Amino acid sequence: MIGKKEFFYWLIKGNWPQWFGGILLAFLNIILTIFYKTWGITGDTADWGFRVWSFLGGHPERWTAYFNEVGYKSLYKHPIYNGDTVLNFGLVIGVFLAVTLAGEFRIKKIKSARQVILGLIGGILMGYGARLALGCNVGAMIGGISSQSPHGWIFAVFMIFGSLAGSLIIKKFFIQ
Amino acid sequence: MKRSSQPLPTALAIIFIISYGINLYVQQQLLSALWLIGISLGYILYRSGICFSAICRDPFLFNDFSTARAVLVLLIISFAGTFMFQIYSNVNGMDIPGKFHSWGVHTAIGGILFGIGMVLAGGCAAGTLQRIGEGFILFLIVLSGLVLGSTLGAAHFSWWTTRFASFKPLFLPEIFGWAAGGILTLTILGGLFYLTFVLEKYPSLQNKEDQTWAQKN
Repeated sequence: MIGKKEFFYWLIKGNWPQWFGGILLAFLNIILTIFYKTWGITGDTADWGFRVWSFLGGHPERWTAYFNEVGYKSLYKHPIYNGDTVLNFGLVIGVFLAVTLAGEFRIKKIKSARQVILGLIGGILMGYGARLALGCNVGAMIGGISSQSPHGWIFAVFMIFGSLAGSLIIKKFFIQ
Repeated sequence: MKRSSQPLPTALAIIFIISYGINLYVQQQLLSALWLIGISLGYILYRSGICFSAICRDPFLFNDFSTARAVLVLLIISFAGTFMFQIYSNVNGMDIPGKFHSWGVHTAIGGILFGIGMVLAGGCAAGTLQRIGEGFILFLIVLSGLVLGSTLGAAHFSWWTTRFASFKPLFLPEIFGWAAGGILTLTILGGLFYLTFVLEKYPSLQNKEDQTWAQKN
């Protein structure tokens, strides 16, 4: 029998098995599908970019092919008080809560210029790829496969090829 | 590695979660529910250490299939729940819920670019948000790249879909029928799950050089 104290300790500091995390995330994804919409991340980061772009004088509303595809109404919704942004922001704060509860929080500084360049290029490629495929590994792979849409499967297979290619690139050019 | 808690940041986090939650509740009740779900997602991601960019890296480099298996468990349960809700919606004459999008060459190219970017940046989209919460300054840069890239991707979307093959969104049971479609998806996911146990028995397939490199990094 596990005591209350041990359970609490496990809750805030324990190393949960990954499969357990998978089960919990699956249930949250189902809840989101039923009461909101299937979990996704990068549709929202594109939305932030649209706002910056239109603030700078651009016209993201002219990208009609994209908006038709995603059934977009985002430009009319509130920049902060919208479900996707709240979900993404909540994720960051949830991690912060977990980290501080476990006493593991510290600011990790950038180590090298190489990290910055790789990070920026990696981020741009991820964002670009996610919008072409209409989802990241969360929105397209988890969302698409569990909804039984072919785009989820295609994305997952080619993402694996891509990450193999990425490993080769890193090995070839960045490892001395 | 026994570390004590950090009472002050923890208290700040809890106060912020509650006060911002109330603020959202006042705006719209749904938002406060999504706020709690988002926090749970982050908490689970960090505590279980599930990392989506490790799905294909760990099996090849370390013969470690735990992440791949965890993600397959996630997919199987998520699929089962979604499918039940889809059946329920269909029976009740509602639209079929879920994520459906056009697919074609752009999906494949997007997948490849995303995979490369994920490895270069050192984390997927969810992982980027996670590491910002952990305090990595670097991932604020990855996030700005993500915003820039996703905006460009949306801008170029029609360029890719008009020049290369792109097909209308499709719900697999529309082709195969509800029962066969569901069984097909479950069989593929179950088969992959089984495959992880088979592949685990052949550590000789790995490259020794890769292992030492990955351990160093």
